[in-house]
Amino acid sequence: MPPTTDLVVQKIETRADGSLRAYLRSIAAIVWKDLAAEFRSRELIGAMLVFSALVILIFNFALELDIRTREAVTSGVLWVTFAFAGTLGLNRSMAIEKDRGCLDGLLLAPVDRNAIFFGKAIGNLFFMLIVEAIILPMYSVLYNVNLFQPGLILVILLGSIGYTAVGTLLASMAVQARTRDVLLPILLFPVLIPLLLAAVKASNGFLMGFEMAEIMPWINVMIAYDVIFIAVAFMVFDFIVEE
Amino acid sequence: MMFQEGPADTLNYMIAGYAVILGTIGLYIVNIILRFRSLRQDEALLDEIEAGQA
Amino acid sequence: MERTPKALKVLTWLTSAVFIVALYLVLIWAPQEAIMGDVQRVFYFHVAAGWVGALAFLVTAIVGGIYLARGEQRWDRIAVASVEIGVVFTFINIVTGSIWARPIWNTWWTWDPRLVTATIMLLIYIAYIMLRQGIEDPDRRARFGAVYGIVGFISVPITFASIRIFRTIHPVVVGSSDPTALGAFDMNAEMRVAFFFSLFTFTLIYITLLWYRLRLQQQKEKIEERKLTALSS
Repeated sequence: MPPTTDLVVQKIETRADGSLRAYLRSIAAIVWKDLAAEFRSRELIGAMLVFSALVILIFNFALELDIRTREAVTSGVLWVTFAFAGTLGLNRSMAIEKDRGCLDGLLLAPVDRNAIFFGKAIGNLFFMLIVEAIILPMYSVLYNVNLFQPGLILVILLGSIGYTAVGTLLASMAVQARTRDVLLPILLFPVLIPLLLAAVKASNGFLMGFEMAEIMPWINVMIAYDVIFIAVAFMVFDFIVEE
Repeated sequence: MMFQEGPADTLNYMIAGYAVILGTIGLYIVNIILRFRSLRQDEALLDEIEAGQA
Repeated sequence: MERTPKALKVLTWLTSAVFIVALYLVLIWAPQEAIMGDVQRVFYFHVAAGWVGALAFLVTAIVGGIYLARGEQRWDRIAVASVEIGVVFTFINIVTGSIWARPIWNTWWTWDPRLVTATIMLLIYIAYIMLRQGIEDPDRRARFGAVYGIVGFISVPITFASIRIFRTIHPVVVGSSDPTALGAFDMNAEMRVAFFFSLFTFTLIYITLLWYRLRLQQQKEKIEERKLTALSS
């Protein structure tokens, strides 16, 4: 038996006995592949960061962010920035897969289709969190607002999870269309509205120091959104990459 | 609006509302008819081409 | 081209007749509302159009699911036809609502949960149509349409719930009534007849339009196939 066939047989066997472990391992492999590629080129996070900085600067002029308005609009400015920077990252991350034929390669690999989805989504989540981790201190310094509150971090985490779950699903459709760059935000934003609304409201609650009872409904909306759409994406992703 | 006697005179708004309803449905029906018609033209053209080939 | 089937012809005449009866019931037969005046008559078709919009999008999501499970082309045809009609009627719903709101709420637009949800729903399905237009491969177009139809439909109630957490001033006429909502009213028996007859009429209109739109889609596909063979020969 030639060694390559041996390897394939071995892979199939590992899938058969420790299928969950193999599943997790293939997810990790895809995440790792994305992170390693990004670490080498740095084109995705770099673009997202510069774009976010520009959006925040534009808001500064557009809204005249003096000390009083600043408190009221900070959460809105942050989420608009994240949402726009996110589409940039999502488009790029899926377009790379498509253009370099990586997606076809991934599909040929003996991994579950869903593992591809979770791998890509977790990779995108990492990129988003990295960008947010840089934007938050930048915003704090520029506008002298303390954004490092555990509640706000939780909201950003919940928001980013839902955003990347739906975003990865829709971006993998959008990149296969003729009009892909314009299509993603048009597909994504109307579906994201409940998540963004809840994220803005919850962030604002934490920044203004509201009581937990007022913030909890929004947190619950975000958790529900995340759970529902991760489940939906899990069920339908197969049909997007099926060829 | 709350404290006046008798119903408010809002007839113009009602007319505008029904104009929008009937107009939009009408436009959509016209749109479907036009699409049917252009299909029929395509079909006639195809018939001609096929007759020419035979 | 095939002739219009007899059943469809009968349905078309029936729908037209029912529509005229509905217009009579709504515009003349139903009593004038005591406070709002004639503009309240917009309400009957306004709600009926909203109902058809929601129904059309529900149908799109369901046949999308069936298409994904079975992979049969005909389910996708229903989805395309239904979305288009849904967009038309949701548009009617939003514009008539706005016309009603002008004299009653004294503004064309408020950021009320139902208004915003209806508008977002309209945007989702316009995006659906744009997605389909951007994809050439018919099989892929159908699959992506089905996926987005399902994702979009699931997001609508969540959107509504999350915007609902703000206060609403939209009147709830059917079901639980909040008497403080501006523009709320109680329907008397005749109004109720006109209301339910409107719902029935618009459902019939939906079915009729769907049927025509489906035939259009079938014939379009047939002609496209013939064009391909004519080009290749």
